[in-house]
Order: sequence, then structure tokens, then C-alpha cells
Amino acid sequence: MTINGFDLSPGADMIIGKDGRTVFTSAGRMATLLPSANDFGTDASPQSVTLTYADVSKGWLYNWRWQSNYVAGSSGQQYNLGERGDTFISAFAGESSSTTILTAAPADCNVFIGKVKLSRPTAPNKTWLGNTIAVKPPENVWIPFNGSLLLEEQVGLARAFSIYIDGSGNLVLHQQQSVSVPPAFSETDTGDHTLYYGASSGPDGTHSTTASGGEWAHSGASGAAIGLPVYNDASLSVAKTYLVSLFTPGVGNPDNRCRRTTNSAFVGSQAAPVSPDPTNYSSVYSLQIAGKFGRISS
Amino acid sequence: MTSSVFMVDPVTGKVAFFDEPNTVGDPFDPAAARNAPLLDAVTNLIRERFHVDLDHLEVALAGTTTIPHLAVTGIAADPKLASAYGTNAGGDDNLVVNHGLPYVPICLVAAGSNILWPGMPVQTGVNGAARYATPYVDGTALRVATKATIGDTTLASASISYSYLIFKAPPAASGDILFQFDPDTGIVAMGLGKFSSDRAYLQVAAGGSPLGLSVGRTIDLNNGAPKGWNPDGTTFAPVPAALKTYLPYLTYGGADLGGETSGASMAYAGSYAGPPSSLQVQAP
Repeated sequence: MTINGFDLSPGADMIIGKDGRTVFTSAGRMATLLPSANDFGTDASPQSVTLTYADVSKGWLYNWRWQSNYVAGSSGQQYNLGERGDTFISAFAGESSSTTILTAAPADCNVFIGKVKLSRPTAPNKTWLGNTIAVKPPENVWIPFNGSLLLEEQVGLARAFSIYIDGSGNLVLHQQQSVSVPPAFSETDTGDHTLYYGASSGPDGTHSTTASGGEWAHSGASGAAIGLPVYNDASLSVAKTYLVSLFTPGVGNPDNRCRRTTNSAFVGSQAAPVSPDPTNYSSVYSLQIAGKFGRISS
Repeated sequence: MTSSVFMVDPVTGKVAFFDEPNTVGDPFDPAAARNAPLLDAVTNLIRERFHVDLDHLEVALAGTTTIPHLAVTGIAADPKLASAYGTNAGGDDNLVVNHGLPYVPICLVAAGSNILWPGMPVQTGVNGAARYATPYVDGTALRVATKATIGDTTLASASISYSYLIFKAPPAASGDILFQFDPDTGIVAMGLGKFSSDRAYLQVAAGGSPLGLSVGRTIDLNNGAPKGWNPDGTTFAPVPAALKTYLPYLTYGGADLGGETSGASMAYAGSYAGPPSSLQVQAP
């Protein structure tokens, strides 16, 4: 039934219509917000919250690799040998979350409709698997907000927050951070915690043909969890090349100069450093909130 | 027995239609306990059917804007990944509507029947490809920014229609009309100018086409990957099951010897059941 005007019959709903359009009916779902006195922050005076996402839990992975190439030089049989060591800062798998009560919602409110404005004054200082950890939503603008917002996502890393009224009637801020499972790592030598690959022996000058190989080693004890190799830079790498003649007595044994394992007895004399860790993946966001409590009847 | 009551208080200027909480006091006394919802809308919110002190969400603008989005080209897998996946894929930023209000209004933006939470997927492809939309608003315009994730397969270009509701701030009390029906204009006015039937208000009446508004946490993270819940109950977890990492078997010169063993899948593997419900609202 279309009402033009105001209809309130005893025992019935209130219906207000205009030009054949139902403007308001108490028979429908009421969608209403509380008066401004109950606002949680305003445009001019928003509620400010600092969102801190801690640095991830980290270790290191070390990749030693080598290659020998036979060359027939003027002084006889020779080998070009190369070794390289790279330290990768590794991020361990982990889940973390926290819930903070922002305020008690007024009784019987079931929605918080508002806006958030965010900026990231502190960003991760290094790339993650070669990519910048960017802020996904637009910054320094008012974003209509309900539910959740994914702040950062990279392969194996995600950070999000949510604002909602929980089951206890509180407006809460929920923060979450997650780091994924790592690569596989089948230790082939529990004595030095390494994963060998390629040729079975190192660049010892005895190979008659081109050969190559390497190994991965990890921080921690044998069998300990490893992490994602998220960062490597020049300061955590070494590279050595040298020419060895098979017929030159006294040529120093170049074995495993850049090799490193967690067993110090096997650490090469010119291995790359595994510390200090140059990375800090923590993020700090400045979050402003301006919103209204309300009720939408179901 | 309690009743539903329509009442006007000339002293306070309040007008309300409410369910009595009790039968205590004079039914015609605004200050009676049974009429408490008239004088205090906030404390008696659950009993209110209408109250001029409440913001019934007057709609300043409602409409739909269709925005064309470019294709996002698929990518090759990173050397440490068993399949391709990128999170810094293409994005754009487009005008939805100039709102013309002298302040930054409250807005709701929907794609299909789902009111967007910020960064909600509005287009999904295969192997991790998806487009995510975040509305934002300033003193002039409502805009929507999108970003994409991408796998090995191109995400097609798409024209997506965004429905919007932009709300006016409720007017302050003015004038001296508590309740009036003007037969010449057909306008019903109540509460010293706070309500007028020549305006449009948000609500849901039977037979409408409601939009779903999520209530609760709409994203969960697990295993370094997100999963989102839309108001209609559909879900989307972008990280493909095939995404795994491995330690590359490189030579000194950087050649990959192959034979690596990948780790476990990096896809979402959590147990969050999603937000408890969504509420339905409708353009007037």
C-alpha cells in the first residue's frame, strides 16, 4: 500500500510517504545512527591510534656455491675456480594477532560506520623477496570503513587490521600479522646442518671437467626450523675467483673458502658474515578514526 | 500490557514512535517511565522505531558509476617460487561522483549486492589474479582506488559498476514545527526540522533490493596469506595452492642446476569461520 502523508493506525506500523514513495516505514528494517554526541572521533577531531606491527622473527640461510672450469693455459692445465657465499636473512613462519578495546559501544548498537585515514611513518627498511612491502590502501585520505583492511601483502607476508563491535559490545581493533611456511630443507649432513647440491665435492682443483655445486646452511641447531630467504644484499655476500694450475706445487688449497655452516669447524676462512642483520620489517601506522555507532535491525 | 506509541513532546521538541518498556506512569506524561524512549533515544535504542534525535541516514546522493579497469598482465615466477604470484600488480584511481557537500560525508559503495569493505575483491581471475577496490572520500569527491594481485595468467579488463550512497549529516533543530502534514505539498515534517518526508532516508522495506553490509572481521590471515569474506558469504583467498618456495641450486655463475624441492603450499590454511553476519540496507 502506498501512503502519501502519514499513516499510523492503531496496532499498525508508522508509514510516511511522499509522491508515491515510501519515505519511512517502521515495518521495515530500521537503519539509524546515534546522535553526534556519541561519535567515536570526528573529521576535525578524530580518534588517533598507532598500529605497530613488530619485526618478524628471523634467522639466516647461507648459500655457498662453486664452479670449476678447465682451461688449457700457456702454463699447462689450469682451472678457473669460483666460490661465492651469500647470506639471506630468513623469516620464520609465525602467526600473531591482538585485540584492543577502543571503547564500549552504546547499548544495542550493532554497527560502526565510519572512516579511517592512515599513514605509515615507519616502513620496513628492506625489500622482501626482492619486492617493496608497499601500503595497499590509499594513504592520507578518508576511507569509508567497515570490516577489515589488508595493509600489506607480499609473498609469504600479510598484515591487516579490523574494527568492529565484538560480542561483548565493545568497539575493538584487531591486528593480525602472518608469515608463511619456508622452503623445504632436507639436511644431508646432520653434523653441519647443510643441504648439498650439485657435484659431490668442492672446488679442490681435482676435477677434470667443468663441475659445480653448493650447499645451503641455516642458523640454529641441526633440524631447527628454517625461514623464508627474504633478503640478501652485497654486504652479506662474498665472491672469490682464482686460477689453479694442477702442476704448480704449493698452490694453496682453495677448498671451501666461502663456505659456512652452523658448525664452526666448517666455516670457511672467507665466508660472508651472517650478522648484523640489516633488516627491520616492522611497520608503524598512524590511524585516524571518525565514526558513528548505530543499529540496523535484522 | 505495553504498546507501541507515537508521541510528541512540545517542551523538548522530541517526536518518536517507540515500544514502551513498561506501563509505569501516566501515558500522556513524556517524563513517565513508560515513555522513557521519547526523552532518551540512545539509552532506549532497541525500543525505538523512529526518533527525530536519531540519524535516519538521509541520502544526499545515490547512483551507479561504471568504471573501466585495464587488464593486468600475468607474470613469470620468481626464481625462488614454484609458481607466479605478485602483489604489487597494476592499480588505478577513478572518480565515482562529486558529492558537492561542504564536508567529508559518510559513504557506502557497493559492487553488485555487496557493500565494499576497503580492499574487497571486485574481480577474480585464476591462479591468484584479482582486483581489489577501496573507496575513499574527501571534501569534494568519492573515488575508488584499485590494486591487483596477479599470477601467471592475465586478469582481463573489466567494466565494474559501483553503486554509491552518500549521506547527509543530520540537520540541527530549527523552526517551531513539532509535527505537521501540509496537504498542499504532501510533506510530513517532524522534530523542529530534523525529519521531512521530502528527503530520502536509508532503510529496508519488504520487496526491496538490499545491499549487504559486513558486520565483523572480514579478513583473516594465515600462512602469510589473506582470505576475505564478502557480505553475501562468498570468500576469496588469492594465494594459489601452487605457490611454494624453494632454495635455488645455483652455480657460482648463477645458473640454476634444478632438482630443488619446494616447501609446503603458501596458500591460506586458516580456520576462521568468517564474520557472524551481514546486515541488509537499501537505497531509498
